Amino acid sequence: MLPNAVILILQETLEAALLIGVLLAVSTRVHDSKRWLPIALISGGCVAAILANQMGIISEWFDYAGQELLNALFQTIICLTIALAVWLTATIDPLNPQPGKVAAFSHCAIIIIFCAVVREGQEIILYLSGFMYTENFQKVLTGGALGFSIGASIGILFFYSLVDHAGRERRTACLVLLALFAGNMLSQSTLLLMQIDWLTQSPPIWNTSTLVAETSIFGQLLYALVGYEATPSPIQAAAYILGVTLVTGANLMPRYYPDKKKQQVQPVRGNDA
Amino acid sequence: MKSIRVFLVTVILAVVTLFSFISALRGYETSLQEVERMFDSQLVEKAKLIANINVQSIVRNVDSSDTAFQVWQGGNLIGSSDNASQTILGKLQPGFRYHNFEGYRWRTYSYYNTINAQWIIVAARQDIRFSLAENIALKAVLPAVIGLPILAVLIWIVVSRGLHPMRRLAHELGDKQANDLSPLSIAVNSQELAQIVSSSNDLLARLKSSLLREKQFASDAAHELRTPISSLKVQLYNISQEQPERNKAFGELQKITHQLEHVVEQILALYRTSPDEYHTRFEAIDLTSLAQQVIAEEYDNYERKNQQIEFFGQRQLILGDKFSLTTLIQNLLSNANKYTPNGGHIIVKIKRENDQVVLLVEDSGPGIPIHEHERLFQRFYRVGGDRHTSGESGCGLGLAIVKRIAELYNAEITLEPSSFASGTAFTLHFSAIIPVTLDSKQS
Repeated sequence: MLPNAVILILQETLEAALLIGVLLAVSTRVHDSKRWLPIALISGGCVAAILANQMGIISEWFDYAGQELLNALFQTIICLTIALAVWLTATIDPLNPQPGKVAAFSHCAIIIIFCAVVREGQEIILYLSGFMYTENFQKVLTGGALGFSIGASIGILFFYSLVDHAGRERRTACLVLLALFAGNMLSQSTLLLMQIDWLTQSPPIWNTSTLVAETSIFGQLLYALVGYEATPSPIQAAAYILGVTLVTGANLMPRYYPDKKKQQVQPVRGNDA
Repeated sequence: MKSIRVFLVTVILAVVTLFSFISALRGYETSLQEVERMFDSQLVEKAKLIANINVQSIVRNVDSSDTAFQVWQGGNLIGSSDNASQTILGKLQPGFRYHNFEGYRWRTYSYYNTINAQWIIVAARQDIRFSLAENIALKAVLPAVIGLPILAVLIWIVVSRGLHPMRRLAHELGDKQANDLSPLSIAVNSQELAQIVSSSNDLLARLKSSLLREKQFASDAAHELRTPISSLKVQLYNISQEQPERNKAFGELQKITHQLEHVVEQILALYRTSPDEYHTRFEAIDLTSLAQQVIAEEYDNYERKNQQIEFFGQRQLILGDKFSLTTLIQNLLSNANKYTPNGGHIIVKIKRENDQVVLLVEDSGPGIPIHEHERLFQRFYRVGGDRHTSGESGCGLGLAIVKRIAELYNAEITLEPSSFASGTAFTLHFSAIIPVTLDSKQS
């Protein structure tokens, strides 16, 4: 019972913790306040609790495909907002950050973390509430605390290892990770759509479960970090590539289409009397 | 990294949590295996006990439905517990295995009694065994989970305690006035901080000595230059009187000599107002009348450039000395006069704000880019440097002198865009001494 709770909650926490770590590392470059983090965590937690409470009704929507559709929607929103946030960071000048763009980045960060917390949070709450009145609740709760703490600890260490690097290296690492996160989100959303037969299922294009099993700790870490799938279908792989391309394109766009506004030359005056 | 304390606490806590919880999980797994082994040995003991009792009928289990047994001899079931099935639980081969019956999964142990050629099979319900084992293993993990918040508080206290001398050092450095180059008086026990304090004190001593030398040199040089410049001016005047046909050339020479004299006077003013050389006793000065006086003296300069200067003020008294305040106002007004174009506007306001007297000088000049504000008050700094396009001569000391005098009065200087379409507003806040109500407006 306890190991199952650890693995399940670790998987959910790790994904959110790593995403928060990368966004925090990116936000140190654009010099925004970190107020978006508590706002997103608290509001996401509250909405997750409400959704988990109403999941019985939600799951009946769209011919009993409501829960999967809702999660697929959250994942798609995360992917698109990551692309927008990356585009914003590529256009913000770190030496003279434009307040409007910094505020827009903070809003993107709130949306990303809010969606991630709602998605992961409702699954954790649903899992824990299933054991609420059983004799196993203490074991599940202990397992949950262990999984959550391990996930959060990895997230903290991951964040500090990112910010420990110099600006250029950190920016590249964050961009690669955000691109992979976006690909992972889009790939997961297609998997959910396949589960409810909104997309056609097809045989996997490869099978690496013997090499790295998805259920192993390394497999879990790879899944949370780069969206590792041992047996991906062609649609999943295509969605993954699309997500990665979207974020990479958002990063490269300002380079090829720079802001045309030119700063006006300031007249000069002297310090003298 | 904004706070070393937050960094240390979170990273230490994350590392400790990660390793202790992974160890706890490993410990849980090991405890589970150990308890399973213990339960297995209990099954062995039970099988041997049953063999010794020599059961030959169906025996009713007392208060236990989680254990069952069978006794087989020559292929026949000769005895069993009342909850055991009539078929063989597992196999008639020695050892442990699993078997399903009665809707549960059972752990079985088969034992062959060689004395009376009997097979004894003992079974225990696996779900109950696992639950018991998990409860025992959980007790080993639980203290690590419950102890985490306590550990976090302890780490916070220890890190805070460890960083205490560093915070004291930071406070002492933060509390130092800009002109205070005295050595740090903090007593530190830690080897690392002692080195920092020692190096900082050495640095402060070298800086003090270097500044003193610089001041002395500039002051002496200015003093020494004054006499030859005065002689030069007299000689130039005499020659120009003797050779009136070369007045144009002498006029240029006189202008350059005047600029040279101005630079020397500014350097002297700068060091005369240095805190450590400033011994003048402060007295009540009416800033308004002083400003009016300076404007009146410099009025020709504004007229020459066809500039409109407006003065708004009331009688406002502050503690100070006339020389330094006159120098301050002169420099601010001269700056506005120089960089406001012909026909431009200059406004001087002196007003009372609570317990402060505010001096405002704003102009309709080209304005100063925000990124230049910080460096504007540095000595010999001119906006744009060599690319200075105003065409006005200057040595870049005026605003440095203003800042130096403002520091003497603990007056805060702020720079903002002026109320005109372009231009700069310099505001100085002085401490007031006597409230006054007389209003006046002069232009």
